[in-house]
Amino acid sequence: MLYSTQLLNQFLETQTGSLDPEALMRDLTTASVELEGFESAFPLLAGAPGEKIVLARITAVSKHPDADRLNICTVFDGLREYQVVCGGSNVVPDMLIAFAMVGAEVKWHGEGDPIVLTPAKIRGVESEGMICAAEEIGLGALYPATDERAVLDLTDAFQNPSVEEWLGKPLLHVLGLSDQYVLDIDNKSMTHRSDLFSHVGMAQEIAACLPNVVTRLKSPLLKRMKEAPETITVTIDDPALCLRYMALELAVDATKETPAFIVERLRQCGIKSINVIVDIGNYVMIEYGQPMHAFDEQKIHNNTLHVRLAKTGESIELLGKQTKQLSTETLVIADDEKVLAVAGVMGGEHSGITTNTKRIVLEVATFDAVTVRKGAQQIGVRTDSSLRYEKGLPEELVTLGSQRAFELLEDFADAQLIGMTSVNHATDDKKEIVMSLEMITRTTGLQLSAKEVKALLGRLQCKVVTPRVYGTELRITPPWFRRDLNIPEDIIEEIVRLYGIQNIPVQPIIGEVTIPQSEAEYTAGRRIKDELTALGLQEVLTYSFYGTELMKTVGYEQNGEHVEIQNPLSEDLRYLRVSLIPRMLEVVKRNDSAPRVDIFEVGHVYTPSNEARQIGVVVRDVDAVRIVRGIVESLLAQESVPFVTEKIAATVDCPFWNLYQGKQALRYAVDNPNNGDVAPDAVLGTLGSVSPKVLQRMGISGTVAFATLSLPNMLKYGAREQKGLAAISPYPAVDIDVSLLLGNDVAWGDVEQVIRSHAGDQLKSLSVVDVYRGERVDSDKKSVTCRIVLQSQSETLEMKTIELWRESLMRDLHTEFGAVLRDK
Amino acid sequence: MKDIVQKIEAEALAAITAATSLIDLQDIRVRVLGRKDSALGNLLKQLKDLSADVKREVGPLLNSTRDGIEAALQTKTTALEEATEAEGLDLTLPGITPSRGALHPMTQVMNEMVDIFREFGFMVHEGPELDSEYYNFETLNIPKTHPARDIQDTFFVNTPITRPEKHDLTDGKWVMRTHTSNMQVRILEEHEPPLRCIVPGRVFRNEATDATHDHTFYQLEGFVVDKNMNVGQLLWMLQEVLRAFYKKDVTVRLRPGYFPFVEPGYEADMSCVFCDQKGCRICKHTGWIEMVGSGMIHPEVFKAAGYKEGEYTGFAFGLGMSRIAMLKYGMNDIRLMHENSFEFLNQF
Ligand SMILES: [Zn+2]
Repeated sequence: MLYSTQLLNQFLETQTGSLDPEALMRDLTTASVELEGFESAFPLLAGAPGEKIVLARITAVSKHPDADRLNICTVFDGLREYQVVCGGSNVVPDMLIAFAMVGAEVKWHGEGDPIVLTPAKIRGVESEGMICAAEEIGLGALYPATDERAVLDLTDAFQNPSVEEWLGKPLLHVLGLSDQYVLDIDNKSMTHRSDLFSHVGMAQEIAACLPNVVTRLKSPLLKRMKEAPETITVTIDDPALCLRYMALELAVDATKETPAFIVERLRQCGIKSINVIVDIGNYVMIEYGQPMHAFDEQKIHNNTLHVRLAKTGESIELLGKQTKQLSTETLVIADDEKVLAVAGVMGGEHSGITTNTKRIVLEVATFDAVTVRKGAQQIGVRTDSSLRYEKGLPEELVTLGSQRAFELLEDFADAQLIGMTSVNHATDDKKEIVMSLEMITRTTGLQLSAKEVKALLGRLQCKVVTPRVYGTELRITPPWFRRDLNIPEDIIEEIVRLYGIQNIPVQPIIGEVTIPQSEAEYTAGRRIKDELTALGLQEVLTYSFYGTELMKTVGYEQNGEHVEIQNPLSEDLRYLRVSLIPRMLEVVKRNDSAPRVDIFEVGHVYTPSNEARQIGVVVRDVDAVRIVRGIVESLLAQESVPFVTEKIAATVDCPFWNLYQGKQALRYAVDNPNNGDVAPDAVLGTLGSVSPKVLQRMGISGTVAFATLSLPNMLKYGAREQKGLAAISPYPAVDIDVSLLLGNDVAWGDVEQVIRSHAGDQLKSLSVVDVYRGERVDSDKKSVTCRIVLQSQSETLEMKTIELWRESLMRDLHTEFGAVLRDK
Repeated sequence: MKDIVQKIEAEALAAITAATSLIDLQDIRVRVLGRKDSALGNLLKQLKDLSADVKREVGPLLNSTRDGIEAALQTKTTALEEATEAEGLDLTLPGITPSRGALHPMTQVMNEMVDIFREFGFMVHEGPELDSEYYNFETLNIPKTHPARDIQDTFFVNTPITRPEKHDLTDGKWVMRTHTSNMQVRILEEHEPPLRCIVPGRVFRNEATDATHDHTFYQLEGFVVDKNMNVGQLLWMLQEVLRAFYKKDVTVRLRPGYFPFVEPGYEADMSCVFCDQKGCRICKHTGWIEMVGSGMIHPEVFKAAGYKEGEYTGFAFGLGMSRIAMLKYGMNDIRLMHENSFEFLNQF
């Protein structure tokens, strides 16, 4: 929000007569609200380019030979003369002007980005600089132009003989504008401080926080309004939504010009001038923080105003002619026939002020903060008014605001009070906060006396009573405009910031030390991530959401288990993931050109009944399935999870089968010899190859396999803590390489079973070295080369023993699968 | 005999040429020239049984062959010992990197921060990402009317959630947690003070994505609860942790800040570690970087967790980890975090 230092200065007494923005930047930011920045209220006149806009005098004027509307002026800046071509309608010799020299920045017709002046030739005549119109250098509000083509005439402003000294001096100083700044204060830092959304409130805050600044505003002396008849009928359906309502009926002259100081201050605060009535309303709002709205009295049916919720089907044409449908939660102001305004947000076009307006009804009211916020959201408009109501305004502001508005309207719009209706449902309950000095010490570490506390809180206009002479109990009554002060902790915050947060003694924490009990899954997750990176995988982080489109692409059949977001940012973020794989496949696609893709993620998956951490592994490689298997099994081994694998196929009910190549998957379950049936929570995970159709739809080349593992189940069945060292045999291990010729339909898993049972506990390892299909074997056959490593704990395995073992194995493999040794 | 000698010589010389290591050469020497059971050695042993004529003819041949092989071995040994660039050693060729895995940069930064807190004896809890309004808002003194609970800021879910919970939450709505503070009351309910806890994790805001905003980002919440915790200790804690993270002396400055679940509440700024407070783009030339939202735990939060009024005090703080990671690596677009482009990930 923007604040004018000139307006703030009105309410403050400072040593220099005006606020120092550097001091504010430092002291206000640390003690109160964040001053995000400040700049001169007249940026075109400030800084290095601004120095080039100076006071000068026209010494001669002659007609441009080739252009009727242009003059050639000679301009004197106290040192030398310049030739300037000028289109100003009012240039005459001896006139004092704002002269922009080459290098200055001006705004063409007061709009757009500033333009840097360079020497120019205008219709064949040299021109060094520019004689400025007020709006071209940001002075349009202070010096309204008499006609469109007039340049700024400063002759009347400098009547004294010392004017010669001023020639050539920067205009910002000559006009005494150099101490006027616009402050930009972060709205977020004052969300709970409705009092700071006004210049009066901010001035009080500045006086409380800055040394040597005091507020001039003891109690505002405003013109009392005379008694006036209740000419307007006001009804309020639900007083909770509108505790206070004042309606002033005034005869006005709406055609009057708004005084320059109001237009200028509104401009500094980023508010456009509309007409004298609206401008005064806005001005009181930036001064005191009380929004108000003026209706054209002629347009109000029966002089009746109802404050009520909108009815089904009602709509309003807003100022600016946009029509909005209203919801039954929106608070409106209506007459007997129609809706006139959305309460606290914006008025309707129909009852707006025009030059024909003779009488107005000025609404000054307090609306419920949440209701106004909802109303603003509903019509999709946020205004300076709704912004303030949303913070929760005290009802006391209504009297202040209406008096100030009346005073200004009387002075500048010839207002006369015709009638006044005042409804007040506010209760006057002064709250008192009771607290002890010990409490301050306990929370802050500061030792303060009752006297110090009293002095600090006095700066905020809090009343502080210490009932007993030596008592430490404080009874504190905050001022009416500080609705945010309710509990002792609120008061502590105020005391600390006024005392100086930087004065708080830094203290190390001293306390009982215990071994922290961290969430086991967090620790396991960290370890698993490290294990997976050690296996060469890259960690990725994908969104928790996906949409119907991705679900379809990866072949998910139904949404049954998916949790749906009520208000997704977009359709592709509508559902919560039940698996990490769909988004991870997108990562594969994204990196399609990379030579290798092998990734993992450890993240949450969500269903209505559960949220759990899942480990996802995705690999793109010709041998993807075997690589993923290797990774999964190596991880399970690291975590000491005893597991068995089982091939499952489409016969098992699962809505995700279309993701799996051949609609089959490998299921990892806990190896539980005592219980043949695997309990549902004993499933560790699944592994599969991505269906070529899915890959095609996603535009992924190559073969991709994936696995998901349940982190909680791995943790539950993992026996890392029981892990012991296996005996290391002193006898040599023997490698046996066997190339088997097998039927194409023989699954390796079955062959493995036979080999395992043959080898018993002498089997050290078993691996498949190569699987070959092609010219050198029959088309219905494959050749599988495996390496069996045998080792005994008790003896050296002799060649003869090995030979006999191999022969017996081959016999069995032949009987079971018709396997024969392949000749090399 | 002559043929045999020539064959041995040819094979030996070929083997010497092919040898790539000193071990190879040693093997060749043993095999061909060795005293025990070597090709040439055996022939020499047989020599004494042969006739004088043959001796005269073969003897010199054997000797010259042995010398020839010996010389070749010597030359090759010297060559291998002094292998130069011309002979295959080129130290300027680029390296061949074995395939390696890495953690996502966000995880790396998060781990680093978590480990600092662990050294201070903090326990780590991640908690649920889909949570009830009760834990995400109500228990944190954020009333129904608070703007944070608007649909514009928070993702709500449609689907009825049926998780087992300590409280009956079936009537309330469920949301994607908007901060990791959702764990405060859960932890206060389940553990007895003194407590030191951090909650690192993923949080969600319903806001349009651009270079500085993402609907999914990362936070680290921390809180300490004991009989007498105060603002000075909060300041100390933040200062120590940031000092450990940036490995530099840092000053923390508290400014008033408003968060419903703390009172007093503070924005904590860190002295700019990127310019040592000389002023830079990152600190917007103020010398300070806004780092942490913090404050003393609000009495309403203790009340929500069922604690007796005034029994404990505590402080809480929230670190924006996405931003900290971005600052650390000089990232200027938050969307890189979830794009998972290898061009980005492979740099960490
Ligand atoms: Zn800096």
